[in-house]
Formats: sequence, structure tokens, C-alpha cells
Amino acid sequence: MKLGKGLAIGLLLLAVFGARLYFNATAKSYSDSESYYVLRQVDSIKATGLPAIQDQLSFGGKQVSMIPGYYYLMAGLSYLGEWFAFKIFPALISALLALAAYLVASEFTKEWPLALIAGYFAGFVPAFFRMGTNTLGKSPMTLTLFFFCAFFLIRLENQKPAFRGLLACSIALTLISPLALLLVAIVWVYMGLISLQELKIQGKSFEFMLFFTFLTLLLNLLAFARSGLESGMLGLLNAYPQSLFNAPGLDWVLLISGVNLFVLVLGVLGAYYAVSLDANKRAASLLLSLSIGIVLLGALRLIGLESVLSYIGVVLSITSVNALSQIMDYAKKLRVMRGVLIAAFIAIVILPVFAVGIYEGFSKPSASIEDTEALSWLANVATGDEATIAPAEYGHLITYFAMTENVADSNFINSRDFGQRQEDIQRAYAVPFETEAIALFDKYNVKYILLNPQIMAKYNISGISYIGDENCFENIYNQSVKIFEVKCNLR
Amino acid sequence: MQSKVNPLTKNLAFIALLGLFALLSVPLARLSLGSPVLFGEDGLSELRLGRLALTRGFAFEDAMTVPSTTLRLDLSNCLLGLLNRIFPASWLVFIQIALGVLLLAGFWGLMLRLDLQKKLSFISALVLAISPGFVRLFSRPMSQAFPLLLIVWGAYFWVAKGKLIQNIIGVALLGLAMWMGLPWLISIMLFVIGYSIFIRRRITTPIVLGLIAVGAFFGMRYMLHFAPLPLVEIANRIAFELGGVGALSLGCVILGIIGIFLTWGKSRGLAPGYALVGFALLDVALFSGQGGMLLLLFPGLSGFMLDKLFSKTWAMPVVKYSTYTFAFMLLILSLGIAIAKSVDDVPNGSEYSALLTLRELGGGVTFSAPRYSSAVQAIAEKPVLLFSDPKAANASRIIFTSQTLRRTLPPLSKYNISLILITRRMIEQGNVENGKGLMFLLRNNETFKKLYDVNGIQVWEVLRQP
Repeated sequence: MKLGKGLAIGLLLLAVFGARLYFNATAKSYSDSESYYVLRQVDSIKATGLPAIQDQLSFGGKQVSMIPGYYYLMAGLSYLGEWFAFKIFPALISALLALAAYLVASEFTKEWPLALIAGYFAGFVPAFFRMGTNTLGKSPMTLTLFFFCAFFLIRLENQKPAFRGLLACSIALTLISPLALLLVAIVWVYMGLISLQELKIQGKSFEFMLFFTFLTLLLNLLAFARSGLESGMLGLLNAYPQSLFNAPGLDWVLLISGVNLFVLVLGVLGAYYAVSLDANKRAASLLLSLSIGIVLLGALRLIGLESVLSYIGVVLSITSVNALSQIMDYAKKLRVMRGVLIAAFIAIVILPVFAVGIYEGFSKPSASIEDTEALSWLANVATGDEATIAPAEYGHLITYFAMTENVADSNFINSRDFGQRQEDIQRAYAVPFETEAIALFDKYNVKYILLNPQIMAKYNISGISYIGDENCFENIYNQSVKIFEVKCNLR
Repeated sequence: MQSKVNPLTKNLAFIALLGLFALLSVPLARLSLGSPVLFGEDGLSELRLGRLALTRGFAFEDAMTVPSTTLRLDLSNCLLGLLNRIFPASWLVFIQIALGVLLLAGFWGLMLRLDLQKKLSFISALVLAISPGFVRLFSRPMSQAFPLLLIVWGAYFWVAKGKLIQNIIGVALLGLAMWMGLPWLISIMLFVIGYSIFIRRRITTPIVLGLIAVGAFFGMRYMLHFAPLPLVEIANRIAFELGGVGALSLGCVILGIIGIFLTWGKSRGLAPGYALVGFALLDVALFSGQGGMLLLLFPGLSGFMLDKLFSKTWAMPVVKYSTYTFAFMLLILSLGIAIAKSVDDVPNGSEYSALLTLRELGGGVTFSAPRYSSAVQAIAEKPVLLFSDPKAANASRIIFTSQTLRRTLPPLSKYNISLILITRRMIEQGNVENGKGLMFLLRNNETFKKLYDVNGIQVWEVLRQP
């Protein structure tokens, strides 16, 4: 029986790992620009031993506030081989999320096959597949560590050995992501929920909460105090792009497409059963706290929609185990044959969940090879202290491949005027008058303009109207992607 | 050989020394760097307002801002002005430091008189001594320090058992504090009522409440400053590390909140404390208060938490000592940042020299970055732009960033700006950029004339008005 269980867990991990690795291995470029920022930081650590804190290329030069643990980890792993660090390791982390979800779900039920299904659901949550495939960003690792912490905390609350595991996972989370602050808030909300239910908080859990709270606050204060003190919380939020605040919120269509309909239905049902069953009150309260925290952060637009959907998807995957348990009990009462039930379940739920997840992997766009080739070519031409103008989503590609400054990228903390820069970039592409465009280029020291079909579609233009003036603009790279050199200024 | 020194005296001495160290480090560090001991947007502004309160009264139009604004002052500003009449301005810094040490002693004594444990009182006083708000209020002349001091000592004397003369002194001090703003009046009322109901009745309670009623009746129109703040600004006012004026360190806030959770419902005597916390938060949210009472309340609540932390039995020693270390580092880090920020605050030595020179020059409204407004008004005695006015703020943005005189000259003329102060810090912090915007236009010697250029600090005269 134990061998069967171990084998099943191994197969689950292999399935999730294999699916992720397939997409990681076959993609010719990463799907988000943040991956290239990670590569720059890895290069900096390998060259100097330190991450690039004074980033001369981002936003024309600025101080970066960060928690560098993740970049050090990737730099260290890259010594084992770049393929291992940048292809295999991210796939492994995603597979471990399925394991974490299985472990949490097994605290709700003694039926390990049901917990395994919950892990399977978590591994193929569409939003997480979108977020975590073919990327080097730290979000998948943060998510995985989050749920491992949840697992150990639930065990600790149920008076099982878990303290050392919890300490290790929580310290790792603190060293990697400021989202550890969210976990701090969640455990205190959890404590409040437990108190309201007149349950006693376990002594070790309380110790962990205190330790984790002070550790996380201290590390984040050390990492972000400078930017917080200079600009204040208002300043930090002012730097937050208005476009994110204006982005569409969560609605049912997004929820279903991000979480998967079956997982959503089973998860909500299961959450209801979890709350009403006495035996699972602590675990249910923790997952409820987590959901409240994530939804609140999402509502405040402090984390992206993909992240919100990923976390909610995993929570619902875990709570679905309660619904599955009830379905199994009901089926036994109806004396439905086990084989029929399993076959129906595989056909109706298991296969579609897998299919939707894989579909998300196939449909996730990567940075185009033409863009990366063009920018790599520009690196041979540019002298270094000029900027290349392009929308913010190309910012990290510009700094990594072209090695010139960018006007904006996704690292907007510490930038004073991200919103203004976004507006100026749009005006630079869309404005009809050369003088106005050149004034903008002067403002940001722009020497090169990147133009491709995606940028034209983004700004709804068929081309740049003033680019025909050969005295001021020269087309120095002319493929499907074009690069223009700016030869004039107003001064 | 057993020490003959009373342990309580040792505690008091330690608290006083810690407070003295925290406060004295600011002026001493500034002096060693050649910066004046009078500093800070708030400190210099308070000094000027103190002088004005004695000559202009409690409500008047301030001609030192363009456009002018109505200022509403209170008794605390008068007190500061009075001190400035008696002592030179630079002495006020050291007088304020002495008052800070006095506050610590009063706070510690008050906690003992409220029958709180000696260890708890000691820890709370230490947390207060290393709070950023304490450094801010007592390292420079700040009128907001006076009501705090009066409330602490007033309460200390008022709660004394069987000592009528002390009780009367307490009533007098609390009565004085009531005239320093509606939030203080309400705080005193909550404390007095709460103490009388939940802890011990006092004979003098009706007298205090009567004074409150009189103060509210006569002083209300001078004391009501209803000005709600957005959520982020509230956070800035409470927690120092979030970049605003913040009374408390983040560590103290967290410890205090946990302290509330731990003590909730355990003792009726703490009810006035919770009411005061609730009101203090409302004061920040609705009256644009600085959260002064929080500076007393949260260290007290933090003391509960820290006391529990130290007396708790831990499962793993490494977790225990790590937690102590992290909590201690959080508190100390905030103190260090607060001191460093104060040492670096405007004006430094070079800026001070430029401001003294600016005072000798003719001319009227001086344009500079917002953080220099108080310094220009107080030291150079020149009017400045009122940056809180949206039109003036927009005009300042144009003046800083525009690269054409056609756009820059109209706002200069509209606000009658005749002098421009540019400092090295303004360039470093991005208010202006070399070769761009205003710095580009200043090269036009038909419109601007450089009057002063020392150590990267420039004063320009605006020659032409359209």
C-alpha cells in the first residue's frame, strides 16, 4: 500500500514536472521580460558577487530595492549548469507545488488518493500554468513555499512534528520575496479567526508567529527602508503604475478561466464542507485567512491578477478534497461501482483539467526571436549611455540584449515617474510632429527607437509618422522588427 | 557588597541616559558636520510660528506664503514663542532635550503610579526613549511636545493617592494642556473619565471635567481643525519607516498591536488605554493629528508584549534568542534611521550660509524645493510658494521642468518670484536636473542673474518679468 502511495505521488510529480519541462525546454525565449531581469542579476552576482543595486540601465539609471535571495539562489544553481538552473529547476519548483497541495489536502482527509487528486488539480491550475511556465520569475517559488509553510503550520496546529520544517520554509520565503509579509498578515488573521472560534492557539505556533513576524519585518525594512523613507508609502504607491490600478478586476469569466470550472465548483463545495466539519477547523481557518489576504491584496491591486488566481486556484484545489470525499461517500451509499466512478471521474474531470492546463502552456506567448535578435544586434552598435525607447514590457529585454538604458520597465519601485514615462512612450510613438517626439527623446536621452508589429498594434499605429525625415532618423535595422537611430536634438 | 542605590533609581537613571543619548546625538552630530542645531522643516516652521503666535495671536493670514494662508495656532505655539523670547533660538534645542528626558521620567513614573509592574514600566519607558517620534519631538523646538509633557506630568500628579497638593498641580497641568488643541482635550477627558470609572475615583475628577467643559466651550472654534487624511497618509503618520513623519517605529506598532490582542479583556483598568488608542487613531485620521498620544500609548502596549516575550517559555532556545534579536534590531534600526534622518535634515552648513546670505539680499518671494520652505521663511525671512495650494504646486512643476521661457516666466511673474534657490540636494534628489528644465533656462543671463554660488548652492535673481 505504501509503495502504491509513493508510486502514485511520484507519478503525480513526474506528470507536472514533465509538462512544465516540456514547455520550458521547447521555448526559444522566455515568456516574460522579468526572466531577463533575473538573468541580468545572475550575471551581476557571478561577476561581482553582488546583485546590480545601482542599475545604470533601468529607467536611465536608478537604485534598485530588492530582496536578493532568489537571485543568489539562481546564480548558485547556474554553476550546476544553465540548463539545470533555468529549465529544470523552475519545472521542479512547479512540481513541488503539487506536492505541497497534496500534503495540505492530506491534512483534511485520510484518503490519500483524494489528496493526490487535489495535488494534481493544483499542478494544472490554468493561472499557475500561465504564471509559472517558461519563466524565471520568483512567483512560482513564492507560491510553492507559501503552501509548504501552510502545510507545516497546519501540522503544528494539529500538534504534529513540523516546527523545523516550518522554520526552514518560512526563512526561505523571507529571503526570496516580500510576499512573506503577506504570510505574516495571514498567520495573524488566522490567530484572530481561531480566537473567535474559541480555539486555543498552540504555543509553538505562537512562537513561530513572533519569530517570523520580526524576521520578515526586519529583512524587508533593511531591503526597502531607503525607498520607503525617501518617498514614503504614498510615494511608493505613487510609483505604482496607474495602469495596474485601472486594470480590470476579478470577474466570473476570469475566475473560471484562471482556476478551471471543475476545480472552482469542487473547491467552493469543499470549502463549505471544510468550514462546517469540526475536525478541520484549524486547517480551514488557515486557508480562509490565506484567501482573504490574497483577495484583499488583489483588490488593492498590490499583486497581479494572475497571482491572485494562482493562489485561489491552489486553495480551491486543496479544499476540493472535502467535496470529493463527500462524493465518494454518496457514491458508496448509492452502491455505484468503483470502477465506473473512477472512469467517469477521469473522463469528466481529470482529463479536462489536464487539457486546460496544457492548453495554457501552448497558448502562452514568448518574447519573439526577432525582437531578441534585433536587440542583440543593437548591442554591437550602441555605445552604452544612450537609451532605447519601447513600451515597458520590452524594458528588460532592452537592458539584457541591447545593453542600453531603457525608458521604463516592470521594476517601477524607486522610479519617480513611471506613469509619466508610460504616457511619454505612447506619445513618442503616436505623436504626428517630429519636434514633439524629439523633445521627448531629449528628455530621456533616447538614441534608438524599437518598432515591431506588436508595438504598432499596442498603440494602434501603422507606423511612426515623423520617421521619414532622414536628417533626423535613420533605419539602422530593417527586418520585421525595425530599429531607428535618432540623430537630432532640440538643444 | 550590596549596592545602596535603589533599583528604581537605577532604572530611572538608565532611562534618562538612554533618552539623553538618543536626543543629544542629533545636535552633536550636526555640529560635528558643520550644520546648525536648528533644523528640519517642522522644527524651523515651529520656531517661526512660535514667534508669530506671541505677536499675531491665534488666527491670522500668513504673509510669508504665496498665496497667503490662514494660520491657526494654539497655546503650545505661544509657549514656544515665550521660550524663544527668553532664550536664544539655538538654546531651545537643548531645552527641548531636557524636556524630553523629563517626559521619559514622567512617563515611567506615571506607569508606576498606575500600579503597572516595575519591569513593564521600565521596558515601556525604554521603548519610548528609542521611538522615532520621541527623537523628532525633542531634538528640535517642537510645540507639539508641550501638551505631551503636560499630560504626562499632569496625569502623574493627578493620580497620586492621598496627596491633595499633587492632585491640584495635576489639575493645573492638565488644564493647561487642554488649551493646546481639541485632540488633547478629548484625550484628557477620556483618561480622566476612564480612570475614575475603571480604576479609582478622584475627588478632583469633577474639577477636571469642569475645566474640560469650559475649555471646549470657549476654545472650540480655535481648536477644531477637521481635516481627514487618506489611508496612506494615516499610515505615514503612524509608522516612521513608511516615510512620513511617523510617531512610532514599525516594530513598536507591531508589538503594540500584539499587546492589544494579548491584553484584551484581561483587565478593566486597561479600558481607558484602549479608548485613548482608538481616539488617537481617529485624531490622525480625521484631524490630521501627528499621533502624539500614540507615542505614549504604543510603547506602553509594547511593554506588555515585550514583558510576555521575555517571561515566556520557548520550545527552542535558538528561536527564542533570534526573536529577541530581531525585535531589538527592529526597534534600534528605527532609532538609527530617525537620528540619521535628523542629522541629514535641512539645512546643512552650506545651505545655512546660503540662507543667511539670502536674508541680506533684497527681493521678495523665493522659489525652491518644498523641503526648504520653512528654512527660507525662518532663516532667510523671505516668503515662499505655498506648495499645498494645487495651482501653486502646478506652477512649481512648470518652473522646475519647463525648457522654454515662454512657459516658465508666467508662473514666476504670477507669484512674484524674484529669487531662486538651488541646492546640491535638489539636484541629487531630482527636483532639478543639470542641463534640463530650470537649470537649462538659468543660463539665460538676460532673465536670470547668479547672485551666489558656493559649494553647489546657487541663488539666482529673476531679472525680467513679462
